[in-house]
Amino acid sequence: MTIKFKYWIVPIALLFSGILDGMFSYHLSSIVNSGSLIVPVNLMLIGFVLLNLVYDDNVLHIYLAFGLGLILDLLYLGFVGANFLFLPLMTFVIRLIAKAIPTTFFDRLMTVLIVDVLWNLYQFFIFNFFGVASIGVKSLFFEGILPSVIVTIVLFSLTYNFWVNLIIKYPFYRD
Amino acid sequence: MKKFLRNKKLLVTLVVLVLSLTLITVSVTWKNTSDSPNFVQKISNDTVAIVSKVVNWPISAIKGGAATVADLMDTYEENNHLKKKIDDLAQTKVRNTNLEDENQQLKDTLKMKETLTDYDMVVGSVISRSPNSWSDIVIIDQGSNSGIKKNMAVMAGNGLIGRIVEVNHTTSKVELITTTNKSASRFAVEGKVNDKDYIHGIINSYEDKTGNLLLSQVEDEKGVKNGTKIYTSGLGGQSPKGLLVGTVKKISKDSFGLSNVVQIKPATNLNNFSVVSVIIRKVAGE
Repeated sequence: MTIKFKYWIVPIALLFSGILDGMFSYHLSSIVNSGSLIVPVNLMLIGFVLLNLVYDDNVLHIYLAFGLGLILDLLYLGFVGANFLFLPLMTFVIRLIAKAIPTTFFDRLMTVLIVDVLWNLYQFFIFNFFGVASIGVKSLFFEGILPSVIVTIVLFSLTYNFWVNLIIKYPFYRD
Repeated sequence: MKKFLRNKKLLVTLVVLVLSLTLITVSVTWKNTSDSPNFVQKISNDTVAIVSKVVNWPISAIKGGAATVADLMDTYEENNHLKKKIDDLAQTKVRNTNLEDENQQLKDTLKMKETLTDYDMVVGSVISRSPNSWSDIVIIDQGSNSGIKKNMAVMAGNGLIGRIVEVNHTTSKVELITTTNKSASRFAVEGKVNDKDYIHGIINSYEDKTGNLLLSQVEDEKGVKNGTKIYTSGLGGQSPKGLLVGTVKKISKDSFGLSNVVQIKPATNLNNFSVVSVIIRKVAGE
């Protein structure tokens, strides 16, 4: 496997968007400034799901998922297990169902939103189970799923063309 | 049992599940018990922080510019208000200097070097935060190179906002006082009720609905009035004494109706701050 820069453009873009997630979340939350509500930004998740939808037959995506998950977990949480397990799991699930999903904007948006909801549920389970945070069901919906879905719809609409073009032009280890 | 062992898919799923849970358990325990992150984590976080700082610069500049315009609109009123305060301030400053001198002389007489109230500050900026809604962690642009260590208290504006939970070379993670993390260290605080009496307690949790911090394990809340200022007590060996936490807002019963819980209105906005001060206590902890 040769190391060519063009193969690494999408992974770099995904990592960069993962870094932007935290910064946008911080700045947007302080601009909105409505009590303790944090604006959850999942730009990386959008790109990652689209990557797996566009090329559902690339097994190397699973290693990419582990790598990205590890870096983002260490960066934001300080422990390994949230992104590190969720991203590979989603790669596996999307590979199974991708053939059945039409390649339209709307269907891909729906897939991203389902993954987004699953991500919130996964965090709800992991954080509560390991005592990292105590999250109530009400908080899960009003502070997690609802704002996350709204932000994801907006970001997906804004970045859809960018992601799809980038993924098609610079696929990860695929000619 | 034989039937179960023959079902390879189920067996693999079970093994993966057990391994995953073990990985998270080990990782969370490591995070809570270790004084500093491992080498790989430090390098990874510091590298990512360089990108964050570069990208954050124009965003902060734009946001700062907008805030400056907003501030300019209020300048006239603010100026009048501040003019009235200047006379008071000059008098307070003189009194403060005298008290400081007197305090130093008394310390010299008692041969005391440092006390619980002595501390230094390292000022830093927030560069990012955890993008999910529940882990109350922000990342600041100061790390071990500036003398920051795990568990140091962090202030923003007038009040306490949290403590350092992870230190890299050039960045640190701050866990906010609003956290619901069950293994987070809590702040020991006190408030002066009258000339003689103090109340002591521990900041135990945060109420989303009211935006107040909840003070529990209060020995005797008699005499506590609304508006009583609550400070860190310096007990526990981590933070210095005298950092303002907030003011008493209300005293209510806990969910079981057995003991009183003192609600504290935080001294600073816990959701909107960009500059923080890490407090380096001069007296060593345990």
